[in-house]
Amino acid sequence: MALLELARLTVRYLPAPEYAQPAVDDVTLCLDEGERVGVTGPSGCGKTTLALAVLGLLPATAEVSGSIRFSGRELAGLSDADLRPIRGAGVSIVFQESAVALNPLMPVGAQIAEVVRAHSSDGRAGARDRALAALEDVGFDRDISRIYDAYPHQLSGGQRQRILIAQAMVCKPALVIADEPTASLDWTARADILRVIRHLNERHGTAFLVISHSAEVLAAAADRIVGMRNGRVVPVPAQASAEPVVFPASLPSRGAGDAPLLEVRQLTKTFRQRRFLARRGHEVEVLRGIDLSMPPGQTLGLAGESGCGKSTLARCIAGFEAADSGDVRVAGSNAATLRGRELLRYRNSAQLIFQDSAAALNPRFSAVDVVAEPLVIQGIGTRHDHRSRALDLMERVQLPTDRADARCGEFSGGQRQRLAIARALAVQPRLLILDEALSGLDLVTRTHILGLLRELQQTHGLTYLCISHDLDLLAQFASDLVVLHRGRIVSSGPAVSCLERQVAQAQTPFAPTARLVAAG
Amino acid sequence: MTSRRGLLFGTLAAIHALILFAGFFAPYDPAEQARVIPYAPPSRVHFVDVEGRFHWRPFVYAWTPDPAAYDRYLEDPTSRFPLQLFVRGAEYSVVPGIVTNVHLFGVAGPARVALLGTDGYGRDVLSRLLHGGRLSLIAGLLATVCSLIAAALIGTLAGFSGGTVDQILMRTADLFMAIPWLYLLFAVRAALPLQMDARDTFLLLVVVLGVIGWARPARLIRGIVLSARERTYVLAARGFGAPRRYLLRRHVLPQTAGAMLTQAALLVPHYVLAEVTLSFLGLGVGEPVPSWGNMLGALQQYHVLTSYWWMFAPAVALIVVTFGYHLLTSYVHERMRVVAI
Amino acid sequence: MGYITRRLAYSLFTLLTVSILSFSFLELAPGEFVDDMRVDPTVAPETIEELRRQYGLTESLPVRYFRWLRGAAGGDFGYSFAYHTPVSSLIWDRARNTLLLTVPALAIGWLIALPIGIWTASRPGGWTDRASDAGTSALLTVPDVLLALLLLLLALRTGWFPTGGMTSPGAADLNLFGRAKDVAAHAFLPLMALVVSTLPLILRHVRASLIEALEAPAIQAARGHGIPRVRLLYRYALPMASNPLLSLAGLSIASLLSASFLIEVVMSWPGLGPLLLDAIMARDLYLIVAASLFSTLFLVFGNLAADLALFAVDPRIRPGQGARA
Repeated sequence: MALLELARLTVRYLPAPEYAQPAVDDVTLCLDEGERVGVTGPSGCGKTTLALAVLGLLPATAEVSGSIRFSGRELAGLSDADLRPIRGAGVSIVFQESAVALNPLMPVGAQIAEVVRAHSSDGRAGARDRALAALEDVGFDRDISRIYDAYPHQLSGGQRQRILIAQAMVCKPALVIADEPTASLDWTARADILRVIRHLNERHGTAFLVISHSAEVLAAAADRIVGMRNGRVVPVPAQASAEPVVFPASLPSRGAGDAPLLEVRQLTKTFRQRRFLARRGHEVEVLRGIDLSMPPGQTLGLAGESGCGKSTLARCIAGFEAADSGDVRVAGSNAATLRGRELLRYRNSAQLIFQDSAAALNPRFSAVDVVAEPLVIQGIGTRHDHRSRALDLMERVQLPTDRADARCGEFSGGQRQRLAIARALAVQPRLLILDEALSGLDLVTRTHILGLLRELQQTHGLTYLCISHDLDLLAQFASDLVVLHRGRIVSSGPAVSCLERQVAQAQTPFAPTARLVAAG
Repeated sequence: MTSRRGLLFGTLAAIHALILFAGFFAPYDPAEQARVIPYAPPSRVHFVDVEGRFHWRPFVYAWTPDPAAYDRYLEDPTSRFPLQLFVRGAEYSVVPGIVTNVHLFGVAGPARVALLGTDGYGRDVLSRLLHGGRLSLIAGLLATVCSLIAAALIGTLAGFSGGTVDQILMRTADLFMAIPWLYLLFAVRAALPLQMDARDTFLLLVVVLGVIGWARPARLIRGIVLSARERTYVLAARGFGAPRRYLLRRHVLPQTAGAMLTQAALLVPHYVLAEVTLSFLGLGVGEPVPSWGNMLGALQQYHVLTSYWWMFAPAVALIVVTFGYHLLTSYVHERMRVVAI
Repeated sequence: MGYITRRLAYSLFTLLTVSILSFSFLELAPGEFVDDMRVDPTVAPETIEELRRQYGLTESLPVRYFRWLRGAAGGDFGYSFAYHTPVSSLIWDRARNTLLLTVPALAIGWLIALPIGIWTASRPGGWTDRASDAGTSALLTVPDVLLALLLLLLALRTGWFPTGGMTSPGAADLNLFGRAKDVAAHAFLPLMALVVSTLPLILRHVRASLIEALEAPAIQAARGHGIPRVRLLYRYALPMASNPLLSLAGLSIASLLSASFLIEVVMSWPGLGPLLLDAIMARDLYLIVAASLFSTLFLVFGNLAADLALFAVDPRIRPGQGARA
């Protein structure tokens, strides 16, 4: 008998119009004891709804039909009171966003103890002991009692995530559902979490249902992967099962003889943080002595963990911020010496594509407005020209022009990113800086956009600076790589060798799919 | 939902029409006294006379003082005074410049149709109510506009400039918000001369009211401007070379529209109440100009309070207007939430 | 510690600013209290000038202000021209009377609002929730003026409560208990008016804060771990809502003071309200400044208390408790 059996599970949010699709549509899924299953899919495909449905945590407006069997017991339709003993003790959930999933006013250790006391008759001392044991189990080994008494805001993201897992594990449930357990964590923290999951699975035989949009996480965390799209179970795209993508065009390494398009020399930038009426400021050196060079028509990858200064570098290159010392030159023009029209021209030639497409486009603007905006601001052409050029650009990024007047808030993440690219293209840039531009997208969308970018590079001769923390992506996309750590360059060179060095140094526990791009 | 919305807007529109065209709907000039019938109860409108005969046209009897009791009135059954529509009566100006003397209804003299009774000088309460409402409501509306303009300017300045300017402006706003509004009102009022002619009083009143309430909307708008300014799309537009004017016009200010609307719906009844309070205490509009406040002021005399219930009319009117605006506020709230999603 | 000292400094700053503003405002006002005398032909101009010098009106504004400030620090708030007695003798009693009304009103208001708010927040849409919502909406449309008048009417009609003033004539002859009962009987109606006036808004905010807290992801997560409902409400939601609630408590004092001003005047309770009103009518400079300052003092105290409570309750405000491990 399987541990968890979902049969024809459907979840609808009411009131729903006739044609609306259910959030979870006719899902059938099985999980055995001790098994680790991953669920992946684009955002909005119903993964989280599925997780919440299992434990009856959906809002009152949700209508659930179908069957949810846990250890042979039917959970669908049970009342809150009946489900309570199971929540946390039979099946647990590890929520996303550790920053908000913990009570900010209670020490984290006490929050773990609360779970214990909710499911047993242990007193304060007994619960505390079990909580301490749980902390050890998730990898805290030093200063355990300090961690026990700490408040959530005093811990790092990775530590908080482990606390959430401790809460989920402390009553030794048979199944733990982990919803995006590694979102917003950097390499090392992510590796820790994955290690913890494996350890718990091996030591306690706990089954895991891991939800993630990241292929590499699931590759490490799950034995079997289930895909979802629009609420239904779909076959997992090939990329997700850890086979590398080979692009038809080869990726030659640094071509000698081409005058570099982008040149950065000894760039330094320091941030001063000052509180209102404070005496002394707090200085943070974000970038130090950065040297970069890119020939035109290539793709340079810039890798590093969160907080290493990648975005600041991107902004300095794009002309949004001035460096404290050093040079940035694009096509020979030095950003620091330019003003007015010249600076505008510089900025046009180096366009920045942001990570969060939802924030980068005004949701009230229509698609055409968004793409035409640079033309409007810079007064290029008449109003009629604006619209026709915008439509033209939309076609070039493969967006359906019949939705040109829809508000861009209604578009999906991938489509919005295309709009952002179209907007950037409106000013005919030579360099496109992709600042984590593909990070929020699911695998399928990301592949499509990469294809688009590739095509644009070939037809327009664009040069890309691709900034990402995702090694996998950079391996597919970049010919050369530069690695940043705490504001300094620690590694640079052709992508493949650079990556291999990185991997060797970081000793990540999962096999990167990053190798073996047909070395050009 | 749309029928409820229709009801809401219809009622509000009706109230405002009644009040703004007070001269037409009120049968008498608000200052017109009839000292023979002070504190007369509301006229009773009859269809059947004392002999039991039915008449199509409603009529009233004249009030005469009851010889037996001190402040009581009896209906004088000798002559009927039928209600007439579109009578000619006292002159009034519909808007400054256009004068007419047509009233919706009235009766031929010497009887008076006082649907809400009369006050201490025999003045028709209904007429005073409508005219007074005009003053109170317009004061409220104008003050709201003043406050919101000030708030928009200050809030945008603070949000856009940031840094020291922002801090100074917001600390000032905090100070204004911290002081109890009534105290602030009186403080500002105290700085102005106590006795002024009616028009000056009214204008000064509007300014005073506008001053006390700018702080909260300003903070709100500043918050919106600040967060809008930080948005990536604003950064992108700046990268394309957009000047501040463009950013404000295209990206930032449209976001404030919703907040301004809700604040407006909240402020109007608050200001009307403030005017009423000031006038009630004798610090606002004075006799003989009617305002809901000074009409209610008569209730401070115990004998009026206990015996003449129709003098509460302005309070009821105030409740109706406040309620209408509260509904408007919730409606705007709902709409904004829906749009945001 | 830095947090507390900053709050204290800010409170002091507020008080000083209010005093400066009141002084300056009145400077802007045309006319002085001696104006009536100027019109009177029997009063010689020299006498007027002498009076003005006596009351310090001949000096410039900054000088007058600093003189006053120095005195105020020692408890002397200047002289009331209208009442011909030092301001301090008038102020303390009145201030005490206002406190007698506002502090119980605040306590009662919150004591009623908290349980109802918690109950309706935990059962949104239930019949208690809808009844409370209708009730608060109705009460919010009723102006304080009307409330006070209606209660006054009730007292006059039924004779159950004394109307006006704080004590009955002859009360001085009663013993302590008798006097206390007398004051309580007089205070009952103004107190009720005050509570009814501020209750609806407090109730709404309590409910809203709790509902927001209940929707927080942390609560959902705790629910997902099987924490029982009652514990969720009292151990998780209520503390999490305490932040906005405490700030609200501070703000509610401001509206309470406004309401009490009006109610005191209408119901003839001898507090700061009627005093300030009389002072404004008489252009009695020092009295106006002192009365305004005292009310600001209550406000500032109240807010400070709320801030301190917040400091005690919310660990995020307290500085570095154990560095990140």
